[in-house]
Amino acid sequence: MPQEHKLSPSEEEYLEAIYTRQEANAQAITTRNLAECLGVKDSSVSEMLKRLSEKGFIHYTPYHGATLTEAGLKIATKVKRKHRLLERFLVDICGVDKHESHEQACEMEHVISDAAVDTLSTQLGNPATCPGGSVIPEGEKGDETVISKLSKMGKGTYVIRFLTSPEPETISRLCSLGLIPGLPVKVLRKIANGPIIIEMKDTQIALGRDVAESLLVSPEEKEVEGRRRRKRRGAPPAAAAG
Amino acid sequence: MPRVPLFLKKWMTAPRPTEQRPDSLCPSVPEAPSLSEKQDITPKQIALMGNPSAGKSAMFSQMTGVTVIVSNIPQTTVMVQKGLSQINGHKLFIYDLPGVYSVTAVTEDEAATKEFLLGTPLDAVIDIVDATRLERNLYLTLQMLELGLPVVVCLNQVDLLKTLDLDIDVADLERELGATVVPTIATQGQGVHAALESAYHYAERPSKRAPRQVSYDDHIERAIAALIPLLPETSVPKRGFAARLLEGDEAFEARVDEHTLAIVKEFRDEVERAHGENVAITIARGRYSTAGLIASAVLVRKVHKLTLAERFGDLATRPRTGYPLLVALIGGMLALIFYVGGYLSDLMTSFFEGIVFPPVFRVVDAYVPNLLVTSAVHSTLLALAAALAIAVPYILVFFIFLAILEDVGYLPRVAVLLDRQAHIIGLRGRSIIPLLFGYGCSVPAIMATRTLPTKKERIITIALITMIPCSARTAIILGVAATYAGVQYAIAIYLISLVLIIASGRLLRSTVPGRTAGLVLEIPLIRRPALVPILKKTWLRMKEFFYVAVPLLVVGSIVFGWLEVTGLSRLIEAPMAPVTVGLLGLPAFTAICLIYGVLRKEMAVEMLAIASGTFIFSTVMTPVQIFVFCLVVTLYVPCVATFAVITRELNTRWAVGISIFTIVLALIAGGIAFRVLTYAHW
Repeated sequence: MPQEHKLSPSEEEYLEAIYTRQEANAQAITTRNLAECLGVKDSSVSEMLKRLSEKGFIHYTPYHGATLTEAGLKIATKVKRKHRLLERFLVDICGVDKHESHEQACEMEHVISDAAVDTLSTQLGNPATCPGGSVIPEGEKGDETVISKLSKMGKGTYVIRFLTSPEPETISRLCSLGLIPGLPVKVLRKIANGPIIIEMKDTQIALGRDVAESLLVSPEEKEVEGRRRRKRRGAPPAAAAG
Repeated sequence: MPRVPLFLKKWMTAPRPTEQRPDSLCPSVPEAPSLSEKQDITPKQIALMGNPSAGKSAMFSQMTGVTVIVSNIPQTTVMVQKGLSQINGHKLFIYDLPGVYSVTAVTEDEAATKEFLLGTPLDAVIDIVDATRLERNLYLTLQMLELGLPVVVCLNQVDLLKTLDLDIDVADLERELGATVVPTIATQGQGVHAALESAYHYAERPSKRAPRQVSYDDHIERAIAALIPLLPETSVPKRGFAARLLEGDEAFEARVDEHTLAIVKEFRDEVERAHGENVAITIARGRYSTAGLIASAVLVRKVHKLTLAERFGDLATRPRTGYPLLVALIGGMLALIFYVGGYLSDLMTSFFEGIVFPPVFRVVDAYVPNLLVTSAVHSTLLALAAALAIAVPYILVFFIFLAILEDVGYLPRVAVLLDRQAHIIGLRGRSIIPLLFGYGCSVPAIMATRTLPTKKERIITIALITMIPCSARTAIILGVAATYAGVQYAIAIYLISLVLIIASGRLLRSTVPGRTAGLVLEIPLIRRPALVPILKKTWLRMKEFFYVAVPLLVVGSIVFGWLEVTGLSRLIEAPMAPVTVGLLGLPAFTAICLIYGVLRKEMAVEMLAIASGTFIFSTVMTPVQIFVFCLVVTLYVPCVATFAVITRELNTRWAVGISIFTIVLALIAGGIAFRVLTYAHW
């Protein structure tokens, strides 16, 4: 089984590069492109591609190029997710310069664990894009614990997961009203750029946009299943290309 | 179990002496509570507690006969009110406490409740539970039981259950809570007697029933079990004490030694490690899940179809319908005040000028030789006429309208709708409610800012409230500017004040230090307004006008008359002429009116009538002069009562600062308006 292999950082870099290319124009990447992209010799690229192909991560046809297999896509997506989330972390939280953040994320992405990156994503409020604007792929378990800001949600019922407001008054007020993690809330109305009106325990409560942003929620169980079914029907874009 | 739980700090650390109460009492309760042997003589002390908008003040009014402002707006009561009641010949002291969602204080009004609760020996606490929001309200009930308070539950607003297709089994709720439950409808007085009786019985013979315990999760339970042997003997049950320590309640932390605190901290860290969240949240969840269990055991839900009231509430917060509704209501209100108030004003004017004045003046002028006495009689009559003809009609109509809006539950929805706009002036939607109150009277509006979570929001809101045209200023704008200069001038004054309020808000947003906290606001149910409470509330607000303003006006008017007769008025008018005549282009006699306006805003125009000797202002002033005068009176300096309340709520420095700021603003605006309009006319 290809997934069983522990990949080296450079192998992961290759998969990531192929993923980026596929994501951009859904075409096979040539040896030349890869060599430019990673700044290595053509010959070492060919050698690495052969090895990855043998391990079952890519489809490789010499002179034509490489595309990811399903197993390869899985790993590449995971690495890319780590990379972009780490960039977000470095830029938003650590205040690192965008360019430097890319380089540092390139190093870190190979050592950070999946669990750690999932928690990081939650703490960051599950950002949708990296600082450069590229889409951050969802985590593997993402379907079950899609956590995002209440302010981003449409009408429907959600379960509160985290209170992240920096204002102690707000946290305290939310708790005393019973808006605590685990509570299902129903979004009744969103006023454009304004407050969100929710219903909980027979009570309507208005939450300012900033408060709604600090409330991290996940869809209620029923909703998750619906979403999963929808997902299964449509194949992921990158895999379709491969 | 102690018969009467006490929350005095002294008692928290020392073992409770038997059968004796402490000598030192909470400063907010001057009357000594009964020693056990004097029980029949000293009234029992009973507090009303509950969530905001549950109906505590309505209950308080019913129990004591004291009329207090009751509204369908969360957190209407901002300080502890005291009243006397009776049950079967026994006297009871009733305290109305500001509403709280939990015993954890965030804002100043909530802090007042907690302080009172922990510092006052109470014989019973009546917990007003909003039946329509049972589960959320039980959260507070459970906390009160946990603190060992002598709780009697009033299940209030049971009349609304039917419209929401809900039903609550009272006997089951009693069993679940282990406390007496009385169904009530406070606004109609139903069940009030039964509630008082239950509270009195409890005070006489405390219930033997064990109150419902909150079931916490395993980590918390273990921590509580370990902490209990370390806690001092107090009136608070140790289980509740331990829970409050764990959640970091400072009032309780202050009552244990360092060693215990260190252990508490260890447990707190352990729970937080296990749950990955603040321990206060874990504890809140325990209380809420217990409340949820109770609610699901006693609450029956039927299929619910949206009622008309709910639909209206919905339309009020939907931007597409909410903004037009708001504009229509404000426009309708101003038109109503203008036409109805104007009609009443005309009636009064013709009554005084046609029927009262001529015979009285003829007699007085003919038979009283002393000029000072004649002047005093003239002045008194003029003052009464000015009050009843100029101020009262407009203010009365305004207050009735405001009372209806409050009781319907519309204002919190405006707060939600305008949250976005409030950001522009550095505020949040929460501040909209005090600001709207400001259109009624600045003093209660400033008191209402106690519900705001941060100091910065309070300061900005208070400063802006002083610039909002209150009902007295509305009387001036509509009764004088619109009537004698033209409706366009009245609209201009409203728009100018609005622009200046927004500009000042922006200025304050960047200059006042501190920060704001996001909007978290409960939206009450829409209720049908009832006539009697509205009239009561209107009378309560008007009463002050008759008892304070009218006498003040009569005295002011007499003094003014004497100044005129003796020629002393020149001494005041002359030094102010550069401002009144030079800068603002007003007649010299307006100087004294502006001074009187500092006492009460509407006095400025009442004195104008007295000074000019007529109610038809267009005969003594040009439209531009009337406009400038009204504009200046609207903006300049808060009245004495407002100044005093700012001093109390913030400090003298702010009161003086706001006064200077508004005077400068009024003079600049008036000066510019005078010049622009004069040039435009020629």
